[in-house]
Amino acid sequence: MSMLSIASLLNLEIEMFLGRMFMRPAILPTVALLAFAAGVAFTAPAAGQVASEPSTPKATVHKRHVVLMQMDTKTSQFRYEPETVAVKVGDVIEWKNKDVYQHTVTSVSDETLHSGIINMGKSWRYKAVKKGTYKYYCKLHPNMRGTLIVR
Amino acid sequence: MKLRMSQAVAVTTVVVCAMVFSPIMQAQGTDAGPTDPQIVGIVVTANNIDIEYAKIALSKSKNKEVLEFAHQMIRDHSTLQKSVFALGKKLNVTPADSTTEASLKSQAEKTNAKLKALKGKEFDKAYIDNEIAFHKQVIDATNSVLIPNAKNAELKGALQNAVPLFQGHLEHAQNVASSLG
Repeated sequence: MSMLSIASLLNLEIEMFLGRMFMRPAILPTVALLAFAAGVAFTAPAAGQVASEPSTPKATVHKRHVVLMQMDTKTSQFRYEPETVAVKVGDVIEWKNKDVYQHTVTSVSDETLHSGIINMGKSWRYKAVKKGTYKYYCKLHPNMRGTLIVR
Repeated sequence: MKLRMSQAVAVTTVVVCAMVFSPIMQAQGTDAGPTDPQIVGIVVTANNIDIEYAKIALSKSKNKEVLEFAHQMIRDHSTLQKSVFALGKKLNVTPADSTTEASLKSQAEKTNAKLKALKGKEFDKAYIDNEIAFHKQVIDATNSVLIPNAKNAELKGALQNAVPLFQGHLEHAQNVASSLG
């Protein structure tokens, strides 16, 4: 049985015990022990404390974008595919080298994008932190160019 | 120093002039263009030549940009070489000798000797200038001689796909040349 399954079973146990917790305080140490064993952290409400409605924080969903680095055999050109990628601050862009040659992702005019050499079959990730338009190229094959737009 | 600089300029000029009258381009003027086996032979030889230039650079240069470029030439041209051999095997095309290929080798031997006689910044400049000239000529020859004469469609496609690699090397060499001043 996997650790995940064990943890799930223990969680179920905990939930069952919690339902009767105040009626059977003697069980509490057992619950705590089980929770500890399952690696689950929880805080039992203190006496007299009213548990507030669980607030649901407005989750910001950050996307992951993939840009492929490869030879476009139709046009016989090295390409970042897509050549232009538009993302939001917080999004992650992953450049995957699908070519048989090494490539880089290097900013044209600043140090924003500086991947170093990306070997064949490897990737490089960058988290967009600042709005702007960033032109980049492959330092090894400067005829390979792309644009990152952060909105 | 002035003497060294003038030597470097002279070598660079000789190298560039040699490439302008490149053996690859001479094939263009002949009535019968190179055959597919000869085309493969020319590409293999051109690859080997650039790898040899890069090995000389690795043994002589101390410039970071030049060394990175030389390492890249060895990696990229070795990769291309493997794909050329693999394609030749697949198509049952064995690299064949040609006067063009022989001239390329002869020319490269002279350039190698000239590069080996230089050192320091003079070497870096001559090496990179030669790389610029070499890749320009390879691009021109591939577009105007090798691709039009390739009979096999797959070989023709492989040559077309090699051009952006050479173009990338050319632009990289030009960037290194700018950094050398």
